[in-house]
Amino acid sequence: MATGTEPQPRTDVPGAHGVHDASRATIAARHLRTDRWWLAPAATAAGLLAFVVYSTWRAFANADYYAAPYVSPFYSPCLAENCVPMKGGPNWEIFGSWWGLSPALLILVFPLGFRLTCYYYRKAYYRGFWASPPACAVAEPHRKYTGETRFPLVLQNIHRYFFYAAVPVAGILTYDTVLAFRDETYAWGHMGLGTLVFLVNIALIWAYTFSCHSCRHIVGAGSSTSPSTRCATGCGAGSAGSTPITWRSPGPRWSASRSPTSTCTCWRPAPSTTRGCSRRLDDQMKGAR
Amino acid sequence: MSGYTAAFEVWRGDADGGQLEDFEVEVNEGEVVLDIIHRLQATRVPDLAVRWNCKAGKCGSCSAEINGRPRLMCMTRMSVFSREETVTVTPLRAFPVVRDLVTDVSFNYAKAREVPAFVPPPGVAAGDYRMQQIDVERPQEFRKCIECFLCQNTCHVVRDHEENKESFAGPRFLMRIAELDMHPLDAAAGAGVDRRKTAQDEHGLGYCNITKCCTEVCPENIQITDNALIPLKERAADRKYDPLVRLGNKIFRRPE
Ligand code: SF4
Ligand code: SF4
Ligand code: FES
Ligand code: FES
Repeated sequence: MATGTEPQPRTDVPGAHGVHDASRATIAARHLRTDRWWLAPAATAAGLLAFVVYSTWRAFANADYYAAPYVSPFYSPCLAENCVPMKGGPNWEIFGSWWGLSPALLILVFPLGFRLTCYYYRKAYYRGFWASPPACAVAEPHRKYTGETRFPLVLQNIHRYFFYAAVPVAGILTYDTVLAFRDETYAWGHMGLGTLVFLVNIALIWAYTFSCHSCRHIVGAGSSTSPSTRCATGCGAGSAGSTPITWRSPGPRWSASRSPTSTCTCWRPAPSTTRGCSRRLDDQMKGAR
Repeated sequence: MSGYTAAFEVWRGDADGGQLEDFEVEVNEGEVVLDIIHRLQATRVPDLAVRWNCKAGKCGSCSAEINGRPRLMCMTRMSVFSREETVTVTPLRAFPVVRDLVTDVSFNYAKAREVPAFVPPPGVAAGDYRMQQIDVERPQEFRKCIECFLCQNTCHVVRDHEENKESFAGPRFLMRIAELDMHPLDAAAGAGVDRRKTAQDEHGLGYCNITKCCTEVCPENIQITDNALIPLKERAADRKYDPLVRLGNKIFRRPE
């Protein structure tokens, strides 16, 4: 079949859509997968649901969020007057006394928006909750599909703004982690199980934040020339020293005869850092000529 | 391991209809599904239609669905199935069937033609192109594509919604747009083609909900979603949804 061929005109048979469209091989089943394809979306949906229920309860509880020196990340920074006093902690009464609800609600909108519009979470909940698709090559139950082309899902495109908001929040949580090295009388030099939990938490939060696709785009992958090249032409003031240009993620592969080589995350260092970059690039260019 | 007899179900038919037919067929050590299909052809059903060329996972011809999963028949070893299991082989289920395991993939060729080609930079002779190695490596991953169209077949946007075929280019060709947009020497902008904007407006990038089935089935292990589609979505956001970037472009007089 030559590559110049035009597709056949579509014949629309009412009631037959998707894999049951009139032009396709007549197979009654929605899918023929024999593995446990439902396990991953079911586990994701159950896990996310449990977290949503728990976090909603904790966010509205407005209680039990501070045990010196530890503050729950849900209530940090605490922006209303009704926060419990935390010595040296992130209490900023920006919202004053009129705010009567849980102070967690003021700050949680940012991490919530960040996670809701996150590319990875989108995959998880589109598959797990919306079954669009439930799993690969398993027909989805919806008759119409417009994806992220229309309101409200077109709003997913503002993910980068939530990234901008998430960075200062992560900064404050880092500050909380430092404060966790005090004891309950606020004397420095303490370390308890809570401190370890804080350390693990903040490490994961920064890893999550920096692996954000918007972050990758902003630090240089969004450019059509590598950050170093931009830097050399004098317009790359914001270029970072290293840019995750490509990355590999682990995952089951359906081609069984290949070795699972793709398991390392590759943060590719740009040839040079911003400073001193033009010189080195000039040298390289000379070498290339 | 010695030979054994496996149960196969193979779809046979054409555009007017068809059904799964049962076969018992010999399997030997080291064989792949395509070997078994060839054995069926040689011993039982000489008119069984199947498309293949290289038997090495490089030509992209032998795409089919095996136990409901889109894969290359020549790269699916029989050893991944248990001996008791019935192995079901059907044609790709997103494209019109021609006969037996052969489908009409011309949808993909039409979509390929819709993507404007690389525009050579003005004033640079073909032998004088200079690029940073890092800029060469990034799109190089996408050039591993063997055009098996498994990703196009699995993407639910068109697999489950025939009517979207008109407006959606599919992962393989959105990846092509990403590749060209990442090319530092592509002069499409000068020729009046805004690849980032048209990806969204004309090639249906917004339909993709990044559920990664294209990546999951790609026999070349190309990280289609992470390295092409999501970066392209971010690039389209620059053009269409990010007021700050647009303001910055105005202030610094960068070309929009
Ligand atoms: S990630 Fe996008 S293009 Fe790939 S299969 Fe999913 S919806 Fe289709
Ligand atoms: S991107 Fe991968 S799955 Fe898609 S056509 Fe190319 S090789 Fe096949
Ligand atoms: S936080 Fe997940 S992609 Fe940005
Ligand atoms: S026959 Fe060439 S890829 Fe399978």
